[in-house]
Amino acid sequence: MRVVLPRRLVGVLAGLAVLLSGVALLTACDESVDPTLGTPEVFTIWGALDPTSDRQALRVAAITNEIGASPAEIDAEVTATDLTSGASVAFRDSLVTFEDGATGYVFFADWTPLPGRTYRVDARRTADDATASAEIRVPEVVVPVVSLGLNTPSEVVYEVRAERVPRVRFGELALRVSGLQPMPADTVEVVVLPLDRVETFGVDWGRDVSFIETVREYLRAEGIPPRTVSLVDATYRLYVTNAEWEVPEGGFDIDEVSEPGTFSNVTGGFGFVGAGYWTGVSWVPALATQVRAGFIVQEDPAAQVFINEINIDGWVELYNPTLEPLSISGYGVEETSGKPPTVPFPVGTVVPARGFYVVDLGIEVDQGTQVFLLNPAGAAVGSLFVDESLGGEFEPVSYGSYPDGFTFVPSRGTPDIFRGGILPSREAPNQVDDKPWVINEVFTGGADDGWVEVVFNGLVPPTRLRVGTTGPGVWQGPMPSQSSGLFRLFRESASQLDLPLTGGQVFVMNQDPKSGVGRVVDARFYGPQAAGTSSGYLPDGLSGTWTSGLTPTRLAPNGGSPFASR
Amino acid sequence: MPTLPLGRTLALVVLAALAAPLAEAQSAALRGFVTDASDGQPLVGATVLVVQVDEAGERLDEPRGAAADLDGLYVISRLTPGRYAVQASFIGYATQIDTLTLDAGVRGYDIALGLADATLGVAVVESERSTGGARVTAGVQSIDPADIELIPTPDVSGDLASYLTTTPGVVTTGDRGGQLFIRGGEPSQNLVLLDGMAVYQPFHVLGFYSAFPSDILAGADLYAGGYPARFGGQVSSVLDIQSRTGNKQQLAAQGSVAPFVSAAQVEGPLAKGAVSFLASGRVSVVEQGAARIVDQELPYDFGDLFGKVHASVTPTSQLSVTGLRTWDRGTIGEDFSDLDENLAPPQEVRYTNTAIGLRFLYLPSVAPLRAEILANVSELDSEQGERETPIRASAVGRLSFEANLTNYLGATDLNYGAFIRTNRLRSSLTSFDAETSEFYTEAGAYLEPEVRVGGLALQGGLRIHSFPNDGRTYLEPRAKFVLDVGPHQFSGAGGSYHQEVVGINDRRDVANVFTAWTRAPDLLDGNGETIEGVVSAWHAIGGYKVAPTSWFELVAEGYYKALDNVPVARWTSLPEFTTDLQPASGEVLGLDTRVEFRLRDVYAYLGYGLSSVTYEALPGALPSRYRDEVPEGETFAYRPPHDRRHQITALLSGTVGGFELSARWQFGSGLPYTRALGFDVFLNPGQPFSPFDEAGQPRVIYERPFDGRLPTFHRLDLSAERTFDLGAAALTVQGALINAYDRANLFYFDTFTLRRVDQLPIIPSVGVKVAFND
Repeated sequence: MRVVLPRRLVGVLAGLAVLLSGVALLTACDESVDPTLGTPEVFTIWGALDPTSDRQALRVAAITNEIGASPAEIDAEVTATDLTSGASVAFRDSLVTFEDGATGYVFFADWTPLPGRTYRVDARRTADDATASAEIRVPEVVVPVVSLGLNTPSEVVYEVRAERVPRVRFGELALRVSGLQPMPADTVEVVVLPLDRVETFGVDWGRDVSFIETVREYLRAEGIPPRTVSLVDATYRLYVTNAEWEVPEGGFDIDEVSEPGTFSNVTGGFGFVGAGYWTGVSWVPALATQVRAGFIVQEDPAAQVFINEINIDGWVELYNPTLEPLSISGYGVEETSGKPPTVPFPVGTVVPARGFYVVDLGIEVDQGTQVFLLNPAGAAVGSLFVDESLGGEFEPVSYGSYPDGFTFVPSRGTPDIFRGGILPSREAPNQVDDKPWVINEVFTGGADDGWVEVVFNGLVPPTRLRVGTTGPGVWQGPMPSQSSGLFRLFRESASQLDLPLTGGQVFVMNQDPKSGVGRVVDARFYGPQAAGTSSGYLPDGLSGTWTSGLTPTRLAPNGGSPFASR
Repeated sequence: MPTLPLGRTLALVVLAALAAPLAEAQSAALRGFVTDASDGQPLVGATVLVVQVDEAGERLDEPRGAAADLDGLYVISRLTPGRYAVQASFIGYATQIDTLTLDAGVRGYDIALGLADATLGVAVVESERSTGGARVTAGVQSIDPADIELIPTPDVSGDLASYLTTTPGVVTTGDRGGQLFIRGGEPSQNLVLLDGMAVYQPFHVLGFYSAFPSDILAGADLYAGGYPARFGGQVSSVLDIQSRTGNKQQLAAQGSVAPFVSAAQVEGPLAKGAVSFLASGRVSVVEQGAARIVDQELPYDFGDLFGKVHASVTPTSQLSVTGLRTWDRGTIGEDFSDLDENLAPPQEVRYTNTAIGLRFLYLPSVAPLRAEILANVSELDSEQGERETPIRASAVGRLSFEANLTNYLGATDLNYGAFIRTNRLRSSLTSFDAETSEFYTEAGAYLEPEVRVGGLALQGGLRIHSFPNDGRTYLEPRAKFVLDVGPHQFSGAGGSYHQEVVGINDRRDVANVFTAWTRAPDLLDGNGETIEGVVSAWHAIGGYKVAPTSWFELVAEGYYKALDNVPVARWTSLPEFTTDLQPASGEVLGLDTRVEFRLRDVYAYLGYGLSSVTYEALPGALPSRYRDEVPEGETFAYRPPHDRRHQITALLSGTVGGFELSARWQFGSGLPYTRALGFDVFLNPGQPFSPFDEAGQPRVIYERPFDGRLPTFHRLDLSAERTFDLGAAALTVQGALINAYDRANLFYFDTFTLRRVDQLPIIPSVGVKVAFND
């Protein structure tokens, strides 16, 4: 063992002492970190007012000093005020647990903002009245239309157009299909062109959808073998927003827009409140187009051709409800099926898109007459039966569908509610020969408070009538809820009569009081409607002109000046 | 940027080199290797003096001398042919004196020094200091393995990483992550060379360790700035490490066990006296050892393997082959997903370095010329995320050929050389991106004359560095001087630097140590014009050293660095790795002061670093809500998160009762960080809202970036070590106490959760090492 030199030891110890005294001094140094500094902004609000929905919802988050520790209750009162009328709507709060387990406050109101109006949304902290506010202009409601743009051997392009839209943010092409695994029997919607960015600002908007390429690409990407799923219909949906929901320069860069205060119209807080709604148009592509896109089609390619009318003079009118011309070369219309047509249509025969084709058969037409559209092999791909049950009352000159291309048999053995005697209309839209009831006025409020007013136009009022929006809908539609003189009122209800703000088609069905047999006697496209206005005949009934922008006058003659108060 | 045709420049360099030997034709030169007689290892820093004598041994002239370099090589040129007395000395070794007759031309004379033994009465000379933290001149700190051993670590053997963190001007953000900021530079701006091979990420995930245990080192030079023309490609610093050679006389081995790492090393002759090998391996035992001691999860796993074969092929040539493999795996941040399910747990980071290289040292007999040829391959592979499905990955690698020559022309050394490299960069920065891969070539040459006149040494330098793929060539002037006046030494260095390959690391998140390597990205300047984001820098260093007595030394060095085109991440409220970069310029000002005391067996060192790092960036780097505060067309200034204003290191070591005791205390002022104003939630307005279904993301409302300062850092580490001689073996037992007073030093502050993550708490450790023939 070495001898320890005391001097060396003293040196080391002295050094250590100096070191440790310095340490002792500095250990008193503050170890803590500055707390959150705080900010005068009170709430962050996210959401959009939807003029097509009867429920509005906004996510409201209190700006806190701690994350992940949401207060059990939020001290907020949320209102929306119509800056034109001053009317105010209070929102209710709801603590939502999201799918991932996180929670947050959503404030909602069962209310529909009026298109064209400007609202102020306020989130007020009751403790000190500190308020976060946003002003939102609600856009008009617009429905797009679809038409065939290009039809070549390699591609079918559908043109979707919308007029007078302030801004279209997104478009998506959705298809309803069946045959998808694992539940091939179900009809499901698949979005084949999801959130296709179609950021547009301006008055008129348009989008060309290359259907065949898009669908093929989708099937390939999803690993769906061709010819295994069938198509029900296609829908192109748009998300229309107000002009203020502006796309920032450089697009919605998440790093940029996530910055508090960026892309915000909230004062006294953060976030963004816009206004927007989904709108869309549906159609059924021609079966030949479906096959080319990769769908399985088990029907005859001409099965979409509809025998629309048969006249006592022996001619038969075919109708093509699709957007594409349909070929019927080699097909034929005959009174019997099972054998190839004796007089096939010549090569190059087509039924134009949403158009008619008339063939003169020279046959005698009577109750019980049945004609078939035969394919070249003789199989019936469509038929029309002149229903005997309608005989007796009158002798129709023509028999067919009203409106064109519609057919629905409520139950086996009952007559088709869309078919019966009609006015002769060779190569023109069909019209019923007797319209005892006429749809006189339609109002869509948005919050299930719409209604349809029907006016009596005949001589002998039947005892039963219904109003509906589609084939089965009209059969199951409601009975009138109120009547006044010649007027009948049908109220909107979620289960029986849905009147979306974006518009649609309503039917009125006359029902024979004895037999219960129904027949659609009037059909009307309506909407979308301007805020607080209705559409209807002016003056009332068939003598008038269908006009939009009316002051709603339920169970009373139309004629109030547009935009007058309700 | 000035450009010169590469071919013409190379031709000029070669002509200059060829002309030099002509002047040597009529003079004599002496050169050789100074080694340890016991194991054949070079004695770095050994002094060789020659003086011309007459037949009677009387001195005829002033002595001339040279110090042995890292290879043990000394060269004394421009001598008049004649009779010379030669004296070789090194501290701890017996001085050797001989008499030689030198004819015109080069005479080789190798010297093997034996250990001093007082009983033999052999003179022992005091060499100049060969160790100590104050060995700093003109920005270069020479590091001796013995310096490293003084630093208390939780391990029996020292590690270069622990030493570097005691150096003023070297900042770490914490004891995890392996990130070193040297005098204001970014980690990816440091060039680390081991025997001439680039090692891209040499620091292990736990801050005490690097790929370089002191046991394998011959020495290292840390150029904290102003480095000479032979180095380039990085703009902050150069750490030039030389590994030692294995024992050429006998087999030796050692093994150690400690709570953080276990290590083994073996070395010995393959051909006695001529060829040796050295192999070393370390594996971390943190999860099994230290984590249990501190009762805290320490999910770190790392290790390294080193091997070297060194051969003295002929008396005038040496060949060595060095290989290095390191691996690291660790999760740096803490998992706060228990607080909020929207907070993803931190992602594991993994990286491996692989390098293998050949070094050939040749001394032509016709001229006092030293030629070094290097050929090596190195690669770094990094990834983040789960092993099977990493969310991002990056790799950088190069194949390099380099020749470095020195002509010894009396008072002038002419250094010059050329290099050519082919590099490969691979990256896949999101799990959705396909991997991108890029090859590019770089080539260049340098000329670096050094002239000594009296006490003044002047070194000039010019480096040409070219990237033929995109036609970029950089001309980089460099300069250095050292003036010795009595006990005073004045020095200065400076130069121009460029960096073509940059490491992108999101400095907003300290816990994210993943670095993606990429060519200098195109950036947008203030006018919206695309600029080549090649990082460039100017360095200037001025130093003063004084050693008035044998027991006291003081060094003070002021430095300035001007940086341009430093890519900084654009600040966003959703912290995540981003390649959205903005160019920043930087200004680094600092003063490093070191004081050293040596009193018999007591060594004390005090270092103080004063530093200011300022970045100036375009408003685009700011959160958009603060951009309007910046006047049109102007930049804004901020302190990056490695701006440590004050840094103090105190080291005290001594031997008491056979125990080597060490204490180190470190202090660092708080680092900049960004505070929160509040928290809310973010729903993306880029798509239709769905308030009942969309949880959104928790969001931090930040104040202006880096306006806050974290608490100060200070820590005391203690160690005691004693070696017991067991005959053929030596047993060393070491005890250490890291963070002795259990200071809760902040590693980072998670603004999302307002939770702090601290550095390691107090860690007691005991390590044991057994060495045979060491």
